[in-house]
Formats: sequence, structure tokens, C-alpha cells
Amino acid sequence: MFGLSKRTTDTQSSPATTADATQRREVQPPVDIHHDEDGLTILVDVPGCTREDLIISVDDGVLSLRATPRAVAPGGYQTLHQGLVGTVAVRSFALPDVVEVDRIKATVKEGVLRLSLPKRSEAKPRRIDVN
Amino acid sequence: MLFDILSPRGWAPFTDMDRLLAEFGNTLAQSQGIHSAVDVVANDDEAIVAFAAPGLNRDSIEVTVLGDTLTVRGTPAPEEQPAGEWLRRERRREGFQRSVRLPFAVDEQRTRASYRDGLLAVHAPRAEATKPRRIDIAAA
Repeated sequence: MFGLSKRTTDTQSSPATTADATQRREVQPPVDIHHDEDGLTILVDVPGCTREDLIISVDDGVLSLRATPRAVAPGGYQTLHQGLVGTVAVRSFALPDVVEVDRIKATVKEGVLRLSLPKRSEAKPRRIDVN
Repeated sequence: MLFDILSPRGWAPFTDMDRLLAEFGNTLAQSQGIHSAVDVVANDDEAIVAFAAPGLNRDSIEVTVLGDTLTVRGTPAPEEQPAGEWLRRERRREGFQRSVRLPFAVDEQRTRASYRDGLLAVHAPRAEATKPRRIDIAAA
């Protein structure tokens, strides 16, 4: 698990692929978004990516994701078809004000990124007891 | 900048716009085929086929070989049923199946598969009988 803070980027020293990331085709990965009283959860399909292949940043209320899948093929093979390796998954989300940016958490498992965006405590519903 | 607007009911009035954006996002994701992207590489001895298959239940994965055709199947890992509501559902929830035809017949006995980081990688060795062979010319 790794956390995020405002205006910082959780990144890596080098993408683990031979392809130049800037030449990749940008695709929009599918997402599920869930909302409950504690906050938002965003699930993003990022097949072929480990945490080192993900760049997640929050700037000016926008959370941006860039996922660069790594190739499984060793050298010396001829490419017959390239559907995933030639792509980079890019998606951005405008965050509601109630999200506490400093407590956003991200985990990745089996190619699925889970972003947990907790609400500020003052934005959560509260039960008021009657005396 | 194009971005998704997170507007759960009660947080913002633009729910219709949100729905439109969601539908647009859906169409885009499907048209780009990221749900079922596949990479294929080969050398003289084998092909490696990598299927994008995020979030599968490992035990559900099946790989079958018929001649020159590889078929993989799997179902997504069971998902939790959290309280609250889903604002957007674009990820695949049904089973996954994909076939790839290779330029040579595959030795199914030696075919191996692994599942890691949402990538199903199949090593498919070329059947010995289909490999090119040099025929010596008999002396007259």
C-alpha cells in the first residue's frame, strides 16, 4: 500500500519496458466507482501493471492516473500482435471537495487498482443523540 | 483537460451530465478493446501470448489448445457487496473468453500458463512435426 499527498507524484525511476512510453497509444481504462458514507472507492483495470508502473497524482483537485503495462516477452522474439504493450492507460477524476486528499490510498492486485478516497470527517453523516 | 466528474447524488446537481459522461466513457473503453487486449510474440520454437485479464479468479482459469488455436477462459474473482451505491460500472463482470490463432500448431502437452498482475501469459511451444526440417539429398 502506498499513500498519496497533494501535489506529489508516486512514481518510479524507470518504466519496466523497452518501449518508449511517450510513443504509446493512450487508452481509457474501465473504472467502477463506489460511494458510501465513508468516501469513494475507485477500481481501475490496469492489467500488466505493478505499483512501479503506476503514476498517480493529485493536483488542483484532479486525481490523474497513468499506467504503463510491462511486456512479458523476453528479448529475441518477433512481435506478431501488440494490443496491450503499445498502450498507456490514462484517466483523470475531478475530486469532490469532501475528499480528504492527504488520506487517499492506492493498492494494486492482479491488475486491478483500488483507490480509496475517504471523506473529511466533518462531511460524514453524524447521528445526533436526543437527550 | 478531459476528466471524470465524481458527483454522487446529493453532492452536485449535474447527475444527468455525469450519466452522459459515464456512457461516453463506457463506449470509449469498449471501442478501444482494452477489456481484451492481447500481445503475441514468437520465435522458431514457441509463441508467448499475453492476455489482459485483470481481476480473474485464479482457479477459474482454463487454457485449451486445438491445433493452432489457443483458447483461454476465466471468471472474475467474486466481488464484495459493500453498503452504499455504485456510481459507475464499466469493468467487466461477466466471464472472460478469448481465442488466438497462431501461425503454427501447438504442442498442447508442453503448453504452460501463468497468471500475474492481471496478465494471463501462455507459453505455446511449436509442435515438433510442424518445424521446418532440412532433407538431405541422397547420393545418386
